[in-house]
Amino acid sequence: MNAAAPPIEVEGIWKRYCRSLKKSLRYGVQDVTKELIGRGQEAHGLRPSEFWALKDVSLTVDRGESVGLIGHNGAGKTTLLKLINGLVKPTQGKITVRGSVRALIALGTGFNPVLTGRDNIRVASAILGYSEKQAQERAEEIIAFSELEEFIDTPVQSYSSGMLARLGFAVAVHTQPDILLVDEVLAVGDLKFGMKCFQKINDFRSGGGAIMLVSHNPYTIRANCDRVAWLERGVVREIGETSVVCDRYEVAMARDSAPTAALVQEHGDGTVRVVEVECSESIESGDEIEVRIALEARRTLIDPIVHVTLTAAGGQHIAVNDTLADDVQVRIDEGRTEVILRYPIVPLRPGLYGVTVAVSERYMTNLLVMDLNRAMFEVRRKTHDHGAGVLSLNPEWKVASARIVR
Amino acid sequence: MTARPFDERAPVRVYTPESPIRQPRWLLADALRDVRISRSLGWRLAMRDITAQYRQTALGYAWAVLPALMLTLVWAILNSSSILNVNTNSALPYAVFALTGTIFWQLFIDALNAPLSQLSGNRTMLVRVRFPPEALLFSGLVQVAFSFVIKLALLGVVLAAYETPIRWTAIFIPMPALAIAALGTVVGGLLTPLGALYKDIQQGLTAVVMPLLFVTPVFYPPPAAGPLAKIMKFNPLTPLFEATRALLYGGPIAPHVASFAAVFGASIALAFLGWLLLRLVMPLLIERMEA
Repeated sequence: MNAAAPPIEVEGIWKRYCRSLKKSLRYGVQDVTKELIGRGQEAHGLRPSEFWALKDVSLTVDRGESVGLIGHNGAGKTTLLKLINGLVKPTQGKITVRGSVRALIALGTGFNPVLTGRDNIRVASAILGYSEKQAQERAEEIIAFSELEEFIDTPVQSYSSGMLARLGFAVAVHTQPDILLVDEVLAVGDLKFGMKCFQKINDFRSGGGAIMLVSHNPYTIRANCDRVAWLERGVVREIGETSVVCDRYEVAMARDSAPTAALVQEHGDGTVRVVEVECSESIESGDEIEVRIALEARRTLIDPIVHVTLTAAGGQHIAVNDTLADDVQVRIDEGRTEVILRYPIVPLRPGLYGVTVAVSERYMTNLLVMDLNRAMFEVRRKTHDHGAGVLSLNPEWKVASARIVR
Repeated sequence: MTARPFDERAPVRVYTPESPIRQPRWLLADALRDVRISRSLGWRLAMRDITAQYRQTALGYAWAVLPALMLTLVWAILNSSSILNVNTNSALPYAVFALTGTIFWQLFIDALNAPLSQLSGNRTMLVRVRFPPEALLFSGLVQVAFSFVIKLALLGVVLAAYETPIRWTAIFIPMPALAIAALGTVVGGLLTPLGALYKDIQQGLTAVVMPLLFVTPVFYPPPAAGPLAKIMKFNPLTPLFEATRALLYGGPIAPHVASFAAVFGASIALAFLGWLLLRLVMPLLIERMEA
């Protein structure tokens, strides 16, 4: 074997699936027949009710490298893992896998509920290809890692789902594969256990193992992957450095979930209308941003309160401000009024943010109008910024070493 | 998990749409390697299923024999009430005759159902974990054998109760037992690819089993003449059951040898084919199996 050959090599993979159950069964019989007469599964077209789950996907994973897969549900992430694991056959293309593969998918597969944790460890070890003797040697280590000593001799049907996942993970990680496929399983157990799992995975990577990781959690991907492939409807939309692809993906996700016309809700009785909310479409992290709000009132309002909230894609409020708290006198006359709000520095992480505007007559009571995410702006990454988290604070580092005199 | 220093001899697997049948040598080499590694897994899975099955019962292993006992009892009552009048062609007590038939019939049915029920019972595992499918077949066979051995023990008790002598040739009983299990597994195994897709196969098996029981010498020996005699003559199970009783309780063995050998030989050859077929189509079945 060529020493430089990557452990996972996916070349121009296409995979078709069927939406209709009845047809799927019929195609199943067709496919079985084709396989038996030696014609194989290669096909370039779709039969009725079929769709491409993967279209011309190519990627490689090198030794010591961790590649993340992101994308919507149904984008083809799990299908790709199944193909790499050899569970299903491609319709076109070629996958080369060099080394032993372990898939951390649906932990606890093969567990029987009426058997004890200890019995299930033996079964799960056997499924992973261990002999009876090896399984016994590993058992204590697995139990210790799972921290389930107290419950190990009770049937697993009395375990909580978190406990089950812990046991499953403990069994799965006490193996020595060359390649690890991880599918959305790390959100198990409590935080402490989760950290322990990631520690294991990172050890594996630094030891030269190759990892392919599927997750919907951007933090998981950012923290654990060197490169990311973004799948969209079976196609690799982008592949590259984690932070770059994740940024673009998150912005796209936020745009997708951004309020469409139907979702922009205006609450209120019509006394005041938000005519327009305007801000720059895109800023660089740390820049200033100005929000201009045009209101139109049917009657004059003495001492109303204007509320402006910046919201992140996930919906969390990033900055909530109102004129009462900020001690600003407001008067809205009949007709048009303009309110301008300037945020001098916006040190936000790259992503898409929304501006929500509301006007009330007294604090929190008698809401006159609320306009959710009327305007949106994108925050771009500063070139030298490589951090993660909610804010991009560009810290300055200083390292001082004190020599200890003995 | 420690990544071991990258093993340069680590297996290289290539997945393409091509059918492995085009490289029969690779297909066989792969299959043989999997057989080696699937034994301990198959054994472990069988132990899992057997333990789990009986752990949740009050009567435990008695359930391996109760159905056979009850069926025998019904036939014995029918026979002694003169509703049936079975001529067993020997001095054998009818209950012993019927129980022997039932036990070997159950062996056939268990073996027949084993491949498909193993496959559907382990669906969730199959669609998520890659492991040799032989392990499931092996596990199924171990479970069939386990339940058969318990039933044999019951037969021993009943024989003692009736003070029925057995012939020395009884030591060859594993042969017809093996042949019956092989025939069942082969038929079940060959139906499995289709059965994994269409539930009709499972339903069909259930529907066919009862009529088959009546054309097999389970509760009565083949009649000398008439339509049933003709049908039984073509039933591959007939020589196996006849040979079983002859080995155990006496009677002519020679007339069964040729047909016995033919059925056994055909089963083994078909078993080999069925096994390779199942290996070939496994990924196609998994893809259409939803857990």
